[in-house]
Amino acid sequence: MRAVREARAVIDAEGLPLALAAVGGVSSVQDYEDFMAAGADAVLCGSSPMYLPDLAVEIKAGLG
Amino acid sequence: MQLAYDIAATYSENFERGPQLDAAPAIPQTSPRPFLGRSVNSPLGVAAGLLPNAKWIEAYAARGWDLLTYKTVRSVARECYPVPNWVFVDADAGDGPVYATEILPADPAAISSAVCFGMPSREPAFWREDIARAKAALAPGQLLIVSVVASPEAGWSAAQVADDYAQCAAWAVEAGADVVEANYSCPNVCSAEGQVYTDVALSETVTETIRSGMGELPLLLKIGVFPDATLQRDFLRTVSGSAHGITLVNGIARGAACRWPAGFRRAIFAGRCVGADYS
Repeated sequence: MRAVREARAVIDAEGLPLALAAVGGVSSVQDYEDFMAAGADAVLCGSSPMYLPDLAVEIKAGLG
Repeated sequence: MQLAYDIAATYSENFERGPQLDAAPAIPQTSPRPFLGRSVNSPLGVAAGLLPNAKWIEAYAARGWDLLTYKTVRSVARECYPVPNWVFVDADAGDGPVYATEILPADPAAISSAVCFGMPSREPAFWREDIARAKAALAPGQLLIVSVVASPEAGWSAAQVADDYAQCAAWAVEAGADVVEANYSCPNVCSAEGQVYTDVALSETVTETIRSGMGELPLLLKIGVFPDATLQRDFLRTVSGSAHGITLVNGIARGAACRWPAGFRRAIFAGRCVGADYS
């Protein structure tokens, strides 16, 4: 999470035209929300879709 | 608990069989939003690693994952490390030891694992056609990201490494990728730097070379955590003119002793205990 915040801070401070996709340790709706709040533009799940294949449904139920 | 990948089976067996999943559930409607200049159903997807071919891409797209990353491809075929190459681990969130385990927690959200595939790839003749099949399986609002990496030989120059990345990227674009993700979170064979992304000069050369061969399609660079803030700033500044974004792998070093099954190689941790890639 800290790495995402740090990268976002540099991108914003320098006005760099870079999107930020975060990967790593996302296994719940809260994890997704935390990464987005930290400054990610997208969240890519690494291993969790293997044993949580319907995590996307769970997360998207709250997106609107 | 559904386990889409059978860790007791070989990578090839999982590749051919496809994911072991129940019927896909109904997908909640979402409002479209922008990502990399495209309109997507959601900014949520699967990172490079789990989806090695069109069968896997299609299955996860049907379950509502909207950014689907085709597992890293190379300009040459590369075998996967043999089983055991994916193990579940018993680990806390600190720096304590990590143990392979066959006992999974009751809550799948608490699972942690360690993976070491070695970035296998089928030959280009296969994946160039398969990427087209993967793209055809996606619905409007879903994006196909194709991960690429160079396969340097001993003595290669930076230019040769860059050209190899660029060739894979160009083929991916030609096959139908919506986005190319260049994996820089891999060993750097051209200098003393640990990984490609920590060598800013090499990253600049490779990024510009890839960019020159892929038109206006978005380019993501997959990187890890930087050893210091100055290097991170220099990298981001340098690549921002050629790349459109970064895929940042959130990883935590586990320096403590680990106990693996016989034959398990260097591990990359994933899941609850730490986050890392295994593409």
